[in-house]
Amino acid sequence: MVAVSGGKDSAASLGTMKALVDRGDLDVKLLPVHVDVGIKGFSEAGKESAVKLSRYLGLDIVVIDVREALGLTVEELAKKVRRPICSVCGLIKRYFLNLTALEVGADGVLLGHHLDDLFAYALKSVLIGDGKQLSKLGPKTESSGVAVGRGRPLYLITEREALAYAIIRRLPFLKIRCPHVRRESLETQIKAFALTLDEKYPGLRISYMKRLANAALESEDRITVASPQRCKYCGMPSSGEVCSVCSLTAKALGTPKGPDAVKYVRNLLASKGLRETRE
Amino acid sequence: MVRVIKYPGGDEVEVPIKGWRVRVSRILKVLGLKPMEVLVVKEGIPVTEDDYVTQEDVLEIYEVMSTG
Repeated sequence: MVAVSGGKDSAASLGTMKALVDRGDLDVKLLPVHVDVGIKGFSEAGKESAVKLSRYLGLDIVVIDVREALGLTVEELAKKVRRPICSVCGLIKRYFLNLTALEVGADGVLLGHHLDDLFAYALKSVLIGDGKQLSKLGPKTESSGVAVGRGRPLYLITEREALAYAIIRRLPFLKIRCPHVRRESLETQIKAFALTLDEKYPGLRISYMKRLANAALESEDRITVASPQRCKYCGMPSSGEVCSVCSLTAKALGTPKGPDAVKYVRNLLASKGLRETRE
Repeated sequence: MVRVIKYPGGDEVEVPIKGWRVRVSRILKVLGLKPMEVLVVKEGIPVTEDDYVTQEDVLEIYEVMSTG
């Protein structure tokens, strides 16, 4: 399964994987999945790009509509629970990608994180004193039990290379910016710093990420460990009695919406012949 | 004038040039952009800051660090 936002990075990720499959270098079936979070003036274009990209590559895409699944958009949810939208958006996307991967029996979920993203995450984790996160920044995590592993095909590819690849291959991708992106965010500042660092010390980022990849692949954390419990409402893996999505939606709407989300995804997949039964 | 379309967003600007051709680096300087932070594309192909553009060219300039 390949997560497709509609942006250049996921276009490069899906485009690369499809090229490898077409050349016979990879024997996998690719399933692009797009999560439409309902951000005004942005998500519609993202969905359009993701659908165009999949068509261009000859793949059938699954589009998950968060408003249909939960009864409200990510913007509405974030406003109701008074949490930063980017954190709510990330949480909702992870939930639906994980849910869909589990329901279709995917071997793994491929993400569009590139070298610049991962270098910034690594530096950020050190700067905020959360070095334990470093072991999770490898090129892949393996599936374990009900948790689906993740892969990062662009691990050693820079953001510039991903963009150039998408342009040269004429892959459709989104050419507007999310209205919620903040230039002053720590990650954005780190990325800008990393670019200037790489100008003075060429190859520093890629050497660092290669070493980190080796360390991460040897670490115990490379295995995606299933959360110890299952949410009592929706049954998804959860670190507590109630998963984050059921907890957030219960706070916002008075009732946990995880079960509705599961039903929505199962029916959507069944309608596309990707799952046997409807609910 | 060289027509420039800037992404993300698609804003269009026209950059006046002296003579019939100018280096890409000159266009970036006029626009206040750092070469390492953008990717310049002419007719669907990325070009370097040492390449030349002429009055008739349309450049697309993509901000590299634009998230997603």
